[in-house]
Amino acid sequence: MHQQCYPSANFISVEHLNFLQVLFTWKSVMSLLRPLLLDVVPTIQQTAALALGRLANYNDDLAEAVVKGDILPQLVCSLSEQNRFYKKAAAFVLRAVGKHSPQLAQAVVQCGALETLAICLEDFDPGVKEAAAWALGYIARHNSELSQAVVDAGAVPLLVLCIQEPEIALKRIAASTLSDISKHSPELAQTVVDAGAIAHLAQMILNPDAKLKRQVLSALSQIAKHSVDLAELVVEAEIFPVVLTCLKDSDEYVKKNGATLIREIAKHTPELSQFIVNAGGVAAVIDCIGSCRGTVRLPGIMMLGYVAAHSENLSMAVIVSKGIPPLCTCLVEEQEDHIKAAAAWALGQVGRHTPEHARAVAVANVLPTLLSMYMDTHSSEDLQVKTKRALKNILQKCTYLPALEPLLHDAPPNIMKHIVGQFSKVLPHDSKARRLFVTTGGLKKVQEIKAEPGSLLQEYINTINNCFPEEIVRYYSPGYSEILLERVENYQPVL
Amino acid sequence: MNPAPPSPGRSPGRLRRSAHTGPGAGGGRAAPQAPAGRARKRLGPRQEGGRHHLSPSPAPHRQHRAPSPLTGPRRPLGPSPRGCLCRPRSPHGAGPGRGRPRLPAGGAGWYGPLPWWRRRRAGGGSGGSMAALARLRARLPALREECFRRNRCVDEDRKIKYKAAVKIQSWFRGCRVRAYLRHLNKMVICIQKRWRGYQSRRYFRKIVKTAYFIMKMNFYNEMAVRIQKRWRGYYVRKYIHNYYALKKYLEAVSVNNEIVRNELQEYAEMNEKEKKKKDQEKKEKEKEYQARKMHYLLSTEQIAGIYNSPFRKSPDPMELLLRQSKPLSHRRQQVKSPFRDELYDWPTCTRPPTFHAGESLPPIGRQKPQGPFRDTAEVLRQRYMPLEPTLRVAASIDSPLEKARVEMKRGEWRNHIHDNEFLPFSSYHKNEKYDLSIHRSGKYGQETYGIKHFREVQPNKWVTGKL
Repeated sequence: MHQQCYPSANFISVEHLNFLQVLFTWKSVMSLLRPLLLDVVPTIQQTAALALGRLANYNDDLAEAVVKGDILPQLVCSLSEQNRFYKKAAAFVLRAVGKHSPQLAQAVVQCGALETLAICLEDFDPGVKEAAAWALGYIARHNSELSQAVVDAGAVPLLVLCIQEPEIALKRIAASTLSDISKHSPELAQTVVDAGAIAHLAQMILNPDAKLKRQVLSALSQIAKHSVDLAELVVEAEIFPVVLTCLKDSDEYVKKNGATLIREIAKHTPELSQFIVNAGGVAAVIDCIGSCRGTVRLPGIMMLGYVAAHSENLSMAVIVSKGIPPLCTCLVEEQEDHIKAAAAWALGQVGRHTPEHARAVAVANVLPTLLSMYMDTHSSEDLQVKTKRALKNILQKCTYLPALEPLLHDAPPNIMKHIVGQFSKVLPHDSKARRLFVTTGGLKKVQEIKAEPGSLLQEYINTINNCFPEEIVRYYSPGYSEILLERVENYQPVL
Repeated sequence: MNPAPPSPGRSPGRLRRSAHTGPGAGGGRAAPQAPAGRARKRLGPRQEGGRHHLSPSPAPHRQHRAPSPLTGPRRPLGPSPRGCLCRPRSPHGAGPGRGRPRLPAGGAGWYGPLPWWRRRRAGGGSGGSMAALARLRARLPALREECFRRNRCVDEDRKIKYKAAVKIQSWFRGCRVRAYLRHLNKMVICIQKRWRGYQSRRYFRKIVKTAYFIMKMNFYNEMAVRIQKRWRGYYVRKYIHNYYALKKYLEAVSVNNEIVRNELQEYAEMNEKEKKKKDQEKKEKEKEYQARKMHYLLSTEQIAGIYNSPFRKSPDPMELLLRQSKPLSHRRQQVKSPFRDELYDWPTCTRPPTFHAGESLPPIGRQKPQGPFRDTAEVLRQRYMPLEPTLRVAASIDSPLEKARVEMKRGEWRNHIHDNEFLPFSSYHKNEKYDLSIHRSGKYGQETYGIKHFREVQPNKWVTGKL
């Protein structure tokens, strides 16, 4: 007789029915499943719990129905007494309910599930531990209050113990949970660090399993991102230069997370960036950018930007490590605006320090690209702002005139004044440059610029005009041919 | 005292004031009033009206000139002024005139020569007195005449002479005052000259000192600037913006980058090789398994198997594999290697990848174990040697006698039926009260049902016996 009571929810696939029909069906099914949880036969209990878990996993309405049906307190109470299969299934239900939204996770917490899950973390069976850790991870993911609740339940030391277990899946899940806990605030990250997680996470970077490496790198980067002290602690765990091997991994997300970790460390202080440069991190990241495509590149680009932003020596180190060509290719090739914006920002940071840096950027022929992106109406607001700022910063230091020439022709007025300003600084001292300026048509273009008298642009134009003899200035000024013809007309030949 | 209207005989005129009109004199006061004090130098008027001037001076600072009614006004002897006003007079210079001729008490004033009756007689005695008297009488009108004439002359010239005297006196006083002023001026100039010279020299010395000090400080500053300039240039170029160090650093960075790139490249290649090798092994394993499973496809002497077609030059590799492999037994055992996910499960790479950049770890501070070790088997034998106890150890602690005693006691305890064994034969125990059992004891004493009677009996309901 008990055989007939096995819930058949496990065997029906949900996708075949219409969505609303599905919901209605399953909600009614849920009220049937509930008494089965109290059945005498343990297998029925386990299967009922599993079915509930799968239902709640699929849709958040169903998860809400699970919560409203008062099933969770029952589960939580019986969790502590039952065997490991039931525990796994119950933890699965809790995870499925808690993953959809913060309110549902809050409901799970209010049932007192956290203490029970923490007790499950101490169980002997690794499957139970995994399920419990997974549930805790999904709950802690939403916001910092829920994370704090998970930490208050005393889960963190147990998770650190879980990380040391030999089973790979358990390590993965524990690392992912630690990552979710520490991402919200520095205090939570500090709690994780105080439990001694960093040393174990750092050891696991060498593990060949790709998914584990993803989670470990993500956890370390969430810890390191909050403050300088935490970043220093992570660095002291001697992850360099081992982390650089992750940038060469075949798995893309390992590369991305590795680049994220290095970025989070590099952005805090110049000393940390210096350390990364000394360890050869910049070269590794540049190669990583060159080999990836898409969003995976983004952390690497930002890392280069942060390193270059700190000081001019570091920026020069980036240039010397051949960092500019990959950034230019990113700028040109990528389709997404936010990646382009990041590349533009990074180039701006590299080029803004001294004329040497600006020259290195300008030689790569990237300024016209930046200008065209700025002028493009399809670019997003963010991209336009970033390209404009990058252009401004580079142009204010650029003395490499061949790169500035092409910009003269298309630039809008607010950029034009910087370009003309740079010309006005260089031309008075360099005669060859003046000659080139005339022959390439720059002087003609400058005459055609209309500027308000008294503005900065007009002053620059005057300075440039003063560098040349008057005849040639007059020759190139617009309308000169008409003036000459008029003179011809009015000329009275002497007979 | 009202200032008298100016009489023609005298002009109050301007006063010749000097700085030395005594302690109470207010200098510079040019009062137009004609004080009586001035009467002294005026050739006093004969008129009565002139007497107005003779009252004591109203100004308190004319004390030295105040003529008392006793002495009357002072009159200079003759037209010549008596003395300069400049001369400091003692405050009580207005005392009764010393050596002044005493005037008659009538207060009429003495304006002329002594009356004839006051004069000392000059000439002879009483003999010629009558003649003398006659002579004198004869002379009398002439005398009057003479007196009048003399006084008239004097009076006529008085004004002019007075003015002249005033002029002369004033001029002289002026000269005196001027001379005195000049003298004072000279003295003052002398003093001021010396004092100013002294002050200026002091000031000059101070200025010179300051200027010298400033000059020195400027010089020091200059020199300090030069030193600091050199030092700062050196310091900055050596420690802060060391160009050559920066260049070297950048070169070192590029070299390091190259090394890192090479190593990473090697690592990537190694990874790929590992992966390939693993895949290959997996495939081979699969093939082997297939071969073992389908062992029956092996060709025999008579019948060529499917992999050994007679039209082929050489048998198919699968055929060779089939020949090599052992047939599969029915139960396939799945052995899970516990080291499946271990770090060193790499077929080609026996060591984990290391990096030259990392420095070697410091040695663990454990004491190095000393000296030659014993043979392991011996040690284990000793460790697990079975116990060979002596007889004394093997035997129990209790002697047989003790044991027997204990045994006996136990037997007695076991076999006891009755606890009180050694009861006396007297009926000592018979006066023990029997304790009622709870089951039997009711509220009002012992329950009699079940002991004394077994049925409920109600005699009053009996029919018999009531006859």
